[in-house]
Amino acid sequence: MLVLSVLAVGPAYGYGIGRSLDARSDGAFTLGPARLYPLLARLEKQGLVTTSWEEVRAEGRDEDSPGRRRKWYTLSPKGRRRLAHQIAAHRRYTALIDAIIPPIDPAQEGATA
Amino acid sequence: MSTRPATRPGAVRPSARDPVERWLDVFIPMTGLPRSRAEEIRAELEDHLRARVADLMITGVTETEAVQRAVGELGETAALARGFRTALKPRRHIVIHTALITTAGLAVAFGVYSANRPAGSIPQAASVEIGPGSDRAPHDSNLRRFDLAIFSEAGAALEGSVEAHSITRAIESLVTREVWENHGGESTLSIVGNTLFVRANEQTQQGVSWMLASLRQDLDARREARAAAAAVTMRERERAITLLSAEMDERLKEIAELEARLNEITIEMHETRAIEIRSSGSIAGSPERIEYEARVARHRQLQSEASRWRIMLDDANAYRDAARRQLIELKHEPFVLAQREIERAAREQNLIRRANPTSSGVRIIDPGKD
Repeated sequence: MLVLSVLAVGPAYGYGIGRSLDARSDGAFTLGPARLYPLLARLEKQGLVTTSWEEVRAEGRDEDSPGRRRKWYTLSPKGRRRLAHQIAAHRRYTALIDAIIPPIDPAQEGATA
Repeated sequence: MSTRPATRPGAVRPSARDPVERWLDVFIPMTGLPRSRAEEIRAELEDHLRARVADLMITGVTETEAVQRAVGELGETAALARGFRTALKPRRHIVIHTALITTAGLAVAFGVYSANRPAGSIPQAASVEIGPGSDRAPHDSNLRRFDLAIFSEAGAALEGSVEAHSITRAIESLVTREVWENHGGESTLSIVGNTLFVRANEQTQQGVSWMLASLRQDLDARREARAAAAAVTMRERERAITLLSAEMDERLKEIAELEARLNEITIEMHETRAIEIRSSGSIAGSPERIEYEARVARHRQLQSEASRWRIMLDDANAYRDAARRQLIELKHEPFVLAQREIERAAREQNLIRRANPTSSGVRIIDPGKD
């Protein structure tokens, strides 16, 4: 859901997705490359994302030397539906929990009373 | 004094391929994925590593350290390769289930054919020969046994398994359906261990034999395809090992050369030191002093190069070990998979028993004196 959420903002490449997750969660969610890339491969296989390639020229490299290839991921319509479904499920879950837990910490309430 | 030239360009130089490429050369064959897919993963990981190295270098880290850290962040090489394999390879199914589905269509045709012709009227040429792996009980011409060992994985008994359940159900549903006991007829069948006993007339026996032969053909084809795929993966792994071993040899040669040069330099330093002691009156700016200082600087430079090469040697060792582990794991994979199949079958068998406690799907008959 988190990776699909990053892609909901716009197309991104693997390293950028990792950094975006890290930045948007203030470092709370760090999805290492060892988990991120197999996950992206699975999302692609499931048709939740589409991919395209871009030629990137490395900084400081010879102008004539060939650049490297960068793989961009874009959320597919199926991925968008899946994300909407996951977000709805997440909202239901948090609403359920919110309905059970007290609105504020009872201990804190006692302290301020 | 040594006769070594002052400079030896190219004597100690990194391999033509940089560490990122070398790591990818080792990693990609470990994924065991088709070439086109593997090339895409290679390009993507190369982009990741180079972007990460560039980011780390901005923070003041040297390129060598940055590469080491970026590669380290990818985690254990074999585990990452497994991650891609799991994400991209199709799931394995119980082979026999697929074979049963394929055969079921053919069996329906046979059942229809059998049901629509008068008993005992099969022309000899069209009859199905009951092949090897089956024989008739001496005391009862209608009782026959069929060897099903071929359908069991890794020597596990078929009796009570999901496969046994599927085979008996398929035969009872598809081969002259009305003759079986649970469809109101008198014929019975049961699987004991890896043997199928069938009590039925000749015509039905032929139907059972034909069905088992069809299942077996399908199973053989699937097993061959699986073995061929495993052989390709194995060759890829072996290629990775060969590649690494060659690189290791090259590294060892370079290290030996480097150490030899260090020895030469050390000797030169001692000689220079002796000259310096002898000419202790002319310390600053004397030609001896200048030469000595140049030698010391060169010695330090070479020491630093030597330690860099040792680090790279350690890396190469680590890559080679990872590939070796992967190779060992792959060689054991058939056994591991067979074990998993057995465990899975046992779990499914429990589910069947729980769902239908009065019948395990297999009825035991007394095969008499056979």
